[in-house]
Parts: sequence; structure tokens; C-alpha cells
Amino acid sequence: MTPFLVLAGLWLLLGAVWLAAYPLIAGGREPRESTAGLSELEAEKDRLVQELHELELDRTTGKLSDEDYRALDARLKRRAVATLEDIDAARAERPSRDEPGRL
Amino acid sequence: MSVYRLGELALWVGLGLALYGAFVGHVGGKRRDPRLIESALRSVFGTAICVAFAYLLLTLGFLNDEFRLAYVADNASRAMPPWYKATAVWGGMEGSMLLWALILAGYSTAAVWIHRRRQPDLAPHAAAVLQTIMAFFLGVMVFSSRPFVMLDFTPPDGLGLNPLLQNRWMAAHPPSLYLGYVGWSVPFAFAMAALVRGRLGADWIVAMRKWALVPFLFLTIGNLMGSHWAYIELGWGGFWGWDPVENSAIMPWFVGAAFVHSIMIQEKRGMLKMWNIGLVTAVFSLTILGTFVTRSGIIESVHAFASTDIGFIFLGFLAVVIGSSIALSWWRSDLLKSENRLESYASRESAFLFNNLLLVGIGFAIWWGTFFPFISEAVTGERISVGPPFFNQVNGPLSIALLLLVGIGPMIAWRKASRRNLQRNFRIPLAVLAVAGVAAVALGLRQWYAVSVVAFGAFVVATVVQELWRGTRARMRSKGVGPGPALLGLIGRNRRRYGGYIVHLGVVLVFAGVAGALFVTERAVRMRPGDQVDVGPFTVLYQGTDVEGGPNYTATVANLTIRDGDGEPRRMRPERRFYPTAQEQVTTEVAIWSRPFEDLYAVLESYQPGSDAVDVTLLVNPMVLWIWIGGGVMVLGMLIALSTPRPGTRRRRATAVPAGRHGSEAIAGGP
Repeated sequence: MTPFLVLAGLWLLLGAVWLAAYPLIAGGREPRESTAGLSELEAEKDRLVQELHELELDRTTGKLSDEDYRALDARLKRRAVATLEDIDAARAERPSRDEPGRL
Repeated sequence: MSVYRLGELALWVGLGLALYGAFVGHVGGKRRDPRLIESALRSVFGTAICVAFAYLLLTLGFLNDEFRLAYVADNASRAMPPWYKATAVWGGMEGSMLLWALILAGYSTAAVWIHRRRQPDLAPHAAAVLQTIMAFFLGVMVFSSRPFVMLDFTPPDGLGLNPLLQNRWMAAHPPSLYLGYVGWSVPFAFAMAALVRGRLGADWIVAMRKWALVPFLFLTIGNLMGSHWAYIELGWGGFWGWDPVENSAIMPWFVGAAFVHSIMIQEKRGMLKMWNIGLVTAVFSLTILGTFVTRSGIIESVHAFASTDIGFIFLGFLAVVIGSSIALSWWRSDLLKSENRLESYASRESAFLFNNLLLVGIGFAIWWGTFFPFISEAVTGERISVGPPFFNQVNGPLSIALLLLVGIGPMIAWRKASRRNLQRNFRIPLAVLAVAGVAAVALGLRQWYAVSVVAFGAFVVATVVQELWRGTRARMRSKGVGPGPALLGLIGRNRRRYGGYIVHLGVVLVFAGVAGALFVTERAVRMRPGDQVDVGPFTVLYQGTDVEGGPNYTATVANLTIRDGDGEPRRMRPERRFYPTAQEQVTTEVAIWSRPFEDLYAVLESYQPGSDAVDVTLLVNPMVLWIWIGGGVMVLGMLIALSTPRPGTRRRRATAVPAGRHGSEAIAGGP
């Protein structure tokens, strides 16, 4: 039993090293250019939507004056629309599934 | 070859992979080289495999009574039940380090897996930082504190686990606390990655919200468990003794609480960027310091069961952590400037800032009191200790101010509170505060702390109830539903916000329980069979002792019958246990009758075999139960906040409309 366990353990450790080494051995892709991916823009859009929702709740529960609400709401909506435009542009540029960090 | 020798090999391979990942993560991230990045990210998984394998082997060593392993021989014995053998893995320093590494491996794997696509710019650098932390702990285990050292002979039995640690709460307490400690590695790693990449907007803060809440949750659970263990196991009648190791666990909780609140300000208003980097560095450093205090033995404590020379290794690592954070923050100081200024002291931002100052102030006071003996000895050669009075005197007023802010913070307006806002939001809670304060004094409370807890606690409860009512009413109007569905919908749709309010309710209950400690009644008596004694509302009758055997101990048990007025009598059986291992240790097992407004707490201090007389200490501890209930409510609130879906996922699931077709109409919606 022990020799089998030792052998299995050694293979496991070898597998752990192989896991890290594989991308180097397999070679493949060229260096990336982009710094901000589509996923980050999507996350930004989702965050802005959530923030707008919370803004509404803050106004309803009396923690924002109407004046502040209108100013913040307009600002957030402008940012949301700009982000949506960026997402459309990014999708047009990158139709493939070349997502960063794919393992 | 013994299979256990593979444990040491696994640690070496893991160390190699961690060092490799630390280097390649930064280089790959800087060059934007996908192969290097993928290799670095995968090195995290490879290291996790090595660490998990080593941990499994050590656990098998304990379960199989493999006493050739020096660590197993030092911390286990054949008579121990299997459950305690499995938990004895972290009963000493070497195993604790391995548990640290195992938990870090789990967190690192999850963080890298989740964020490799969401934050592709930050992930390789964060992985590099996580691997650096891992390399430190694996290095400690490979070079200094080795769990797989083999003896030249096989001892017939081991020394056994410290009996104080043979308690179910103590079995669960260290893993929970370590989940809390180690979890802060992830926000710290992403903060450093954000500094390296110069991406210091709200992105990293938003990404780390839940990664901060998870360790905060586990620190809460860990501290509650530790406190409960101290209460039921140490036999001195209290739940918090300001022991250095207790303090080391609570310090990151306070500073972590500051971070959990201050990131909201950066998220909403683009302020406190430098402060947040400082806070996350401080929390992470305090977790390392906490481990150092427990393991170095520099400060005497019931917890500091290990005394080795690795203390300075920890201090060196701590210096690297703090130094790196300061250097990177200096380098990126232009990007860490606030986007907005504090416009009024009567504002949400200001309330959060004061809340932060109080939380950090409490954390610093505890740090100072804990390390003062160490500092005084280093400076003057004389060890001067400060005890519970110091901590109580300093933290009492600070905590009361904090309780008041718990009520003010969520109610006050952003940017600048108008007179109308103040009147609308604070009129009712302030009236409740006044009524509760007057009622407390009228009912006979005289201690300022207790009166403040009643008044300010009522204020907080009123603010939360008012907030829930207003949100519910708004939802009833907008959705046309009844109060029940509206309330559930309100909480379900805004889990982070209302989860936070539920945590605040739990805080009030914990305060109530802590204030009860001001009213403890204590009697220490020698009793012979048939003797009767009154303590508080209880009458205690002693009826002799029994001797009973446990799996690895012998216990002397005192039989007490308790009466409270005309109610049914109740039996309580405090014990003294003798563990016949090489250490020959005696422990007390207290008996507790826990009721909503007081606990009767009985300790068998000693017994006289000839006369069957016993020395018993009896305490009536008011309100203790509310500490555990309040802690449970806090945990519930945190779980609700944590269950918040990632922004957009619920909507995507419901509509499955491509993002480009969402207009600003998609952002409408009621509370």
C-alpha cells in the first residue's frame, strides 16, 4: 500500500508543477494590447445601474435633497450611457471570444 | 520510504511554485504576456494542490497515531477521540502554519479563478502578491517550523493535546479565526495590484467588497466562538479578559469594520482613497501580527502555547508588507487624491469618517495596551502590564460614541444634511433616545455606561425601524403589495444596505450583553453535602460529588440543585477533570444555567476527598445570552449582505438582452 501511495503522491506533485508549466510549454498567444477588457466595462455598467437604484432609495428615505438627487442622477446616467456606448464599440472591435485570462 | 516524507517534499514544491508565481505574475502582468500570466495564475492552483496534499498527510498522521512524526507525538495521544485528533492538527505552531497556508491556498484559488476575467489587469499582480504571502508561510514551514520532522524512534504514545483545547468551541474557533485572518490577504493583494497598475478608482474597491465582508464575517464568528469558549471553559466567569491573543483577534475586526464602511465613501464619492489603502494594509498587518503574537510567545497568555524563535521572522515579513504598501502609495500618491471634498460636518461622509476614526482609535488603544508590556520592557528593561481597567476605561467612552454613530451614519444625508433632512430623519429616534434614557434612570440604572447603552441602543433600533418602515411604505406604493411582501422585497432587493442595518441591530444586542457585566453577583463558598446558599434570585443546594470517567480523563462532579422561587428545581453539575497524560493537567468544566436575562454560572474550584466538601464559586451574570444572540444577528446580517447578487446578474438572468440595447430606461426602478 505504501509504495502505491508514495507513487501517487509523487505523480500529484508532478501534476502541480505541470499545471503551472503547461502554458509555457504549449506556447501560443501573442502579447495583448488592451488594458481594459469588455468584462470590466460590463462590470462598470452593472455598478452604475446599482448605484442609480440606491440613489433612488436614498431619495425615498430622505437622505438626499431633491437638488442633490437630480444632479447625481443626471451625472450617473451620463456615465451609464457613455459606458453602454463603450461596450458597443468594444463588441464591434472584438467579436471573437478572445477573453483575457482564459485558462 | 514513509509516505509522510512526501509532506516535506510537497511543502518544498509548493514553495518553489509560490516563488515562481510571485515573480512571473508581476513580469507577465507588466508585459501583458498571456503565457506568463496564465502560468502565474496556474501556479496558484499548483501550490494549492501541494499544500492540500501536505495537510491531508499530516491529518492522516494524527488519525493513524503516527508518533514518529515529532509534531504528532507532541500534540496527540492514543486515548484522544478521533474528532480531537483531527482538530489537534492545528493545536501547535507547525500545524497552525499549515492551516494558514491551506486556507490561503483556498482563498487564492477562488480569488484568481473569479477575477482572472473580471479584473484581467489586476489578477496577475494580485496572484503574485498572494503567492508572495504563501511563499513566506511555506518558507517558515520548510526552514523553521517544520511539521514533518521524523523522530529516530517511535514513542509508544504522544503527549496529548492541551486539555483546555479539547472543547468543541475551541475545535471550531481557530479555523474560523484563521478564515478571518487569512481572508484579508485577498483585499490586500488586490489593493497592491491596483497600486502597481495605477488603477485606483472604484474598480478594485467594488471587486473587493465581498472579499472584505467574508473575512469580516469569519472574524466575527471566530471572536464570538473564542469568547464563548473562554466563558464556558476557563472558569473565571467572564467572556472577555483582554488577553493578548484575544486582543490580537479583535484588533483586525475593528480596523476591518472601518474598512468595510470607508470603502462605501470611495465607491460613492471618490474620497478616502489613500485611507482605504492604509486601512487594508493595517488589517492585513494586524492579522500577521495576531499570528505572530500567538506563535512567538512574546506576551504571556493562556493562548500563547508555543514559544519559538520565529517571532522575528514574522516581524521582518511585517516590515516588508508595511514598507511595500507605503512605498507604492508614495509612488501613486497623485492617483490617490480625493475626487471630492468634505463639504459639511453634518453629512454621511463626515459620520463615516468619525466612525472610522473611532474604530481605528479603539483598535489602536487595544494595540497600545497589548504591546505596552513589550514596548516598556524593550525601552526601560521593566515589564509594565496594563490590565482590563485600562482597556475598559479607554474603550468604554469610545464604544459608546461609536454606538451613537451607528444610529446617525445610515440616517444622515450625503454631502450636506439640510435642516429638513435632520428633522425628518432624527425627530422620532431622538425622542426614543430621550424616553429610553429617562426610563433607564427611573428604573434605577445609575452607571453612565449602562444608561448610555440603553438610550443609544434604543436610538439605533428606532433608526433601523424607521428606515425599514419608510422603505417598506415606498415599496407598498410603487408595487401595490402588502407590508409583508414589501418588506421582504425591500430587503431582498437591497441586501447589502439592509443586511448592514441588521448587523447594527446585532451590535445593539451585543452592547446590551456587555453592559450586563456591570451587574455581576459573585459568591465563593465552601459547601458540605446538604449545605444551601443564596446567590441573586437562586438558592443552591449541594448534594455531594460523583466520580465519572471520560474517554481520556477522570472527572469529579459536584451535584447542585438550584431553585428560583417556586419554579421547578434544576440540576447543575460543575466538574474538575484530570487528564492522566504526560502533562497531567487539571481543568474545570463549569455548569451554566442560561436564561434570557441572567446566567447562573457554577465553578467547582476544589474538593476535599475526606469530607466531601467542595469550594464552589457561583456567579449571576446578567444579559450574557444577548451577546451570543446579538452575535448571531450580526452574522445573519452579514450573510444577507453577502448574498447580494453581483450587479447586473439578476437583470441579465431575467431579460437576457444584449448590453448594447439597454438604454437609460433600464436603470429605472423603485426601491
